[in-house]
Amino acid sequence: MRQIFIILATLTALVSSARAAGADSFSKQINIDPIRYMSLQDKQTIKTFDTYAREAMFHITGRSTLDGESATFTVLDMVFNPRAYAERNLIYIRNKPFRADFGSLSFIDAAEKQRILKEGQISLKFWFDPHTQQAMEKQMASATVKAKAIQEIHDQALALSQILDYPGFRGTLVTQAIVPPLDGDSANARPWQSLPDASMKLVQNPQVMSGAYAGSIEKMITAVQGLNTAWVAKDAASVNQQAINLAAAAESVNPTIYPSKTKRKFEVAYNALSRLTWPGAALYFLAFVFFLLAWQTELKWMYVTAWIAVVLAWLVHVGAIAIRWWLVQKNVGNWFEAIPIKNQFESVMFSAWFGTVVALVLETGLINRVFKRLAGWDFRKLHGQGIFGAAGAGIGMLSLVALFAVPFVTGQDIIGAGIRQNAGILMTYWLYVHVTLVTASYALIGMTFVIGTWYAIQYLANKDAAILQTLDAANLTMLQLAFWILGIGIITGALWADVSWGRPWAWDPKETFALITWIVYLIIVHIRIVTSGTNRALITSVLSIVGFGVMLFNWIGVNFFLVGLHSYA
Amino acid sequence: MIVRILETLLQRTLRNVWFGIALLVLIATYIAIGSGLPGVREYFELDEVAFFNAWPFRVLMILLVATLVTVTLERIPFTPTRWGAWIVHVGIVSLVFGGFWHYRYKVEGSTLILQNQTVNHYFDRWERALYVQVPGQMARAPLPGFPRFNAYDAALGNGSALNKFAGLNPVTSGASPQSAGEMAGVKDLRFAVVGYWPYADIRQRLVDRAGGGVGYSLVGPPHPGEDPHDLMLLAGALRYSRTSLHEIELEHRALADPAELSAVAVAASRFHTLNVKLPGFEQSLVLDVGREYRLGDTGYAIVVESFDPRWQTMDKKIVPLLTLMVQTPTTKFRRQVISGSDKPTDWILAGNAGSEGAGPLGKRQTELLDNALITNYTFDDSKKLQPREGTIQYTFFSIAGTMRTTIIAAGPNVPTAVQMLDGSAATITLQSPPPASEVMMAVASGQPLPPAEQVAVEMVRKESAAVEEYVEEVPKIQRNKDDGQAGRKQVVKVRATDGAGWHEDVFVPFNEQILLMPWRGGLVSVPGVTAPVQMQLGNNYRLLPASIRLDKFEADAYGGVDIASAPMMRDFRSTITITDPRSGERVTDTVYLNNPVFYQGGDWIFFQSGWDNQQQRFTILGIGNRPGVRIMAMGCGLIVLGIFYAFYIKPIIIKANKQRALAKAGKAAQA
Repeated sequence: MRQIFIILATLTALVSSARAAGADSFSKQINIDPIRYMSLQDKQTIKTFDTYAREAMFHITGRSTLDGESATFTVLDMVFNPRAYAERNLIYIRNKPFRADFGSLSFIDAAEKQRILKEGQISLKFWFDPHTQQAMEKQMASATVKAKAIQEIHDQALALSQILDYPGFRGTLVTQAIVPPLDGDSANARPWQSLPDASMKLVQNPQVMSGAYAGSIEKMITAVQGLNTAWVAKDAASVNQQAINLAAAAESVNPTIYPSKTKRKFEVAYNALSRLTWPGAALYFLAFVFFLLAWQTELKWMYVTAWIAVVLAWLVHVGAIAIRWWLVQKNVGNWFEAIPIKNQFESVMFSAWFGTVVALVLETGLINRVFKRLAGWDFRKLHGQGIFGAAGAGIGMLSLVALFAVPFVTGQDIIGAGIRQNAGILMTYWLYVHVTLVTASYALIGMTFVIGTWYAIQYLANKDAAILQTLDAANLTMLQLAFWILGIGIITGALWADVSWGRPWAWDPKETFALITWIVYLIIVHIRIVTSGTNRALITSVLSIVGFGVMLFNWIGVNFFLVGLHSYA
Repeated sequence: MIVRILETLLQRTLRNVWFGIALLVLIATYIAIGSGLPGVREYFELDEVAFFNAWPFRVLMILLVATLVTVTLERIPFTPTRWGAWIVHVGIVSLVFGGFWHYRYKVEGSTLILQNQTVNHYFDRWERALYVQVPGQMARAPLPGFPRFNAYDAALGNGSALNKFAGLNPVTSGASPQSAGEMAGVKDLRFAVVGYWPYADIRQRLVDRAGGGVGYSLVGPPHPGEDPHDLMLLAGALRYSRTSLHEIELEHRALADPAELSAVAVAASRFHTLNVKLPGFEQSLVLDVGREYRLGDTGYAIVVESFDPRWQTMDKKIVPLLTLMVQTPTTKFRRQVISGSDKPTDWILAGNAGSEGAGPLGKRQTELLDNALITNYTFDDSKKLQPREGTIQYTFFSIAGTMRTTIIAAGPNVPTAVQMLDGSAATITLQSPPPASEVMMAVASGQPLPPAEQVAVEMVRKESAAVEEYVEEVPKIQRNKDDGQAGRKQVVKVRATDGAGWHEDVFVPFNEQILLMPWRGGLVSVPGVTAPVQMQLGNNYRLLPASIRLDKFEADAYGGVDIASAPMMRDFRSTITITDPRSGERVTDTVYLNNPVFYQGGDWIFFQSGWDNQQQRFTILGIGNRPGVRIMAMGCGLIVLGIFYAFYIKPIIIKANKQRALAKAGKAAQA
């Protein structure tokens, strides 16, 4: 007992000393929140400095933090201590086979080649070295695949050089467009400028610029210079003061179009919580487990717990969609065009949300009552057992886990994860109609997969006729809805293609594999006519799994393996 | 026998639901192969549309329709509870027939329209044509069913696949078409496609050939990291007497007489002649750019700063212009003299009195700064040795029967140089001129001109040479998807014949904009025709149902950024006026993304397809007809309606029927 106490005391002392050491470090002493919450324009999009820093860091390094520091701190440290980063191995080579090509470079030693192969990171200075550039030019001419890999690395290098102001190393916020425009009726209606550009404009057109504008720019310049000096000197108090000054001056340039403080704070919080993916996924997981346990044990408290978890998960999910909608709105200027369903990230988010709504409505039995009254259906009392609840929570969990984990697993973000502008062709009501229906059907197909798998397991495990009958009925309910909605989704896509591409059906892989998915369900409908009993249900469950596989290939696989028109979907 | 087979098919197979299910599996498999394994359909030279319009798919669809009709008529009673199945089946049949009609008659393409211009044509997206140009006129031979994905050539053993593209007789468009042969004055001039490569480069090499002339092969890497440039010069050859290597112009001239060479050398040394007069002094100077000339004991000196052979005057005339720096005993100023003009222009140098608002050259003066100095300038390039501004021309002179090569290098801003080489191989050093911006900066700042870059080139001379063209297929791994889809790297080998025993094979490249982009290669010299006949492969030309004028083109970028640099655009808008060719009726409308203009009641669609991303000078409209679209749309509507009815209305009807039956039974029991 005494030994345990000694160990615990030692551990506590170690943790305390580590904390104390951390507290002494510069990064722990400063408060850069005012800069974190500042707005800037990047890639024709208005975002907080926090978002910009996270995106830039992830783009360059494949990670969102460096040395355990936040992205904002790292980017500022890069800006004010640029030379320290030019030679660091920060640029992450995402194309792993291409790393081996560095082995052919004669001017680096074997150990360095091995390090690049293993770590996949190179420095900015190394990349822009004439020898490297010369070697890469030769590689680019040798194959399109290599040309793509080189272009990707070059884009990362350019992003890093932009932050470092390489090779100028002027050590100030030179390239970031942090000065809002004087005109325009919304934040993103006109181009924002970097401080050097704004001050140049001021020199060139002194009569055009008002005194207040000039004053704000001068304050920003003073603050950045002060921040630079303080940062280099590690003067935490001065850094904190200059950060406040800079943020206040930026906001004072044109307060009418500067994004609100609330919106900026929400954006930073949204980023910190991984766009609310992992909190939602965790709650859905809890709900999924308790729904399954409730179904297995028939314990009411488990069922209630599952409901509490799924409602909380759903609220987080709604919050994630609503915050994103709100944040997108500031870039496009109106709510309609901001509806977040325009890329893979947003459509997966919406799809899972729709799936859980349908599942929970079915779980409550509300629809069952309506149908019972109208059509005499009672779905064999499917509701209240946790089947639909588990299916909905399962699909919600899988979707949000995928959105959260894909960047960590692959080193690449899901298409559209960061808020940015969309291709003009997508800015139409047709997108909402078509994508909403198709992704909604995908959620239902996902749930037929969950229930179909559940059926198959039960069939193999105990062959309880009542359970199998219940699961088959639940599967059929989802399947019918998925089949019908997917059909409308495909047709609305054809109508959109007719006005957008000049023909309703181009036999594009996305179109054809959606059609194949629909045909799988058409086959199920007809097989149910000519079969009966357990066979009918088993074939249905197997084909539900097949249909899900085809759908998944269409949603994700087609993007990687086939060439088509739906590059953003 | 046939009747029995058909009867059996009808009775046992077509009414069998399992047969229908098997058909669905086959259709899904066919679609998956066509879409997921593009290599399979490409093996059969089928693109997506052709693959899904091919006979196997048609057979599957006809069988599907047959089984649907049979099952519906024989096994599904037309009662309210079965209306859903009827509606869905009618919908599928309508969709299939609409689809057949659609893909049988569908045409689509695009047209590029310049601002304030009218077009009445478009280019087919899928169908190719062979275009032939006899100077001044263009004829065309459509190539329906032309291959796309695989290479064909006699050398590959599969050249017979192109037999159907023999005997082509291209004709002009319009009411009274004229054939290419008629245009050239060779009645039986015909063309045949004898080779095709989907993704290749046309390359040339210099080969020894009896009866050929002197030729030069030049190999040199002008910039580190690039592939060696392989050039050739062959005097008198249609396309090989001149070539270029970045900013270096190369030309080969074969001379018959050594005396001609002497005349050329003299001409090369006397480009610029300046007659200078000062009180008590007069001299005719032959000048070189970059050199200084002292004018006797007058205390004057002249430095030749730069030369522009094609300078544009205020009244848009192109004249040779020499820029001089004049040093007088008391001051320094800049003078520009124009060949043949006795009115020079003087400039006060920046920093001197009266130079407020000076530009890079100084401040322009309306009066001469030194009236005592009279300068009359003459530029003479009778042998055409001077290239355009910013380049250097190396002219190779060879005299048949001697092994000597004389190379004269001349350029606006470099001293003329003459180099003589003996033998069949040598390493020569070419000077690549400094960038024009650096020259301008040097001139403005009074600094010496920047040095030229040295490029070493290996030269091989062949005494009896000819240029041979050949095709080099680009390895699959190096191919670009967009170029491949647009067919930009397609090459055909065309055999031209005159019906009198002459024939010549020539490689012809694809030209994406036949009417706008310059034609490259594809040249052939037809006996009896003075000018060369040129050919290009292109998208087939088609007439629009109406003429379209582009009144205005606008592009919107997100974030208000500069449009030329905006990576993401919000919209493109083309305001067009459509004129009906028969009635003359005009309609003005705006095409923008997702908002096409429908014409002739929706039979045609004009949609925004592309644009000039630099200056908004033109728009590219997608063009398409819409056969069978309404029938397909009706079929889709019926399918959706039928499924909804079958899934969600049918149970209500069944319940109502049951209740009615129960009520009826109850009444009967009571009775």
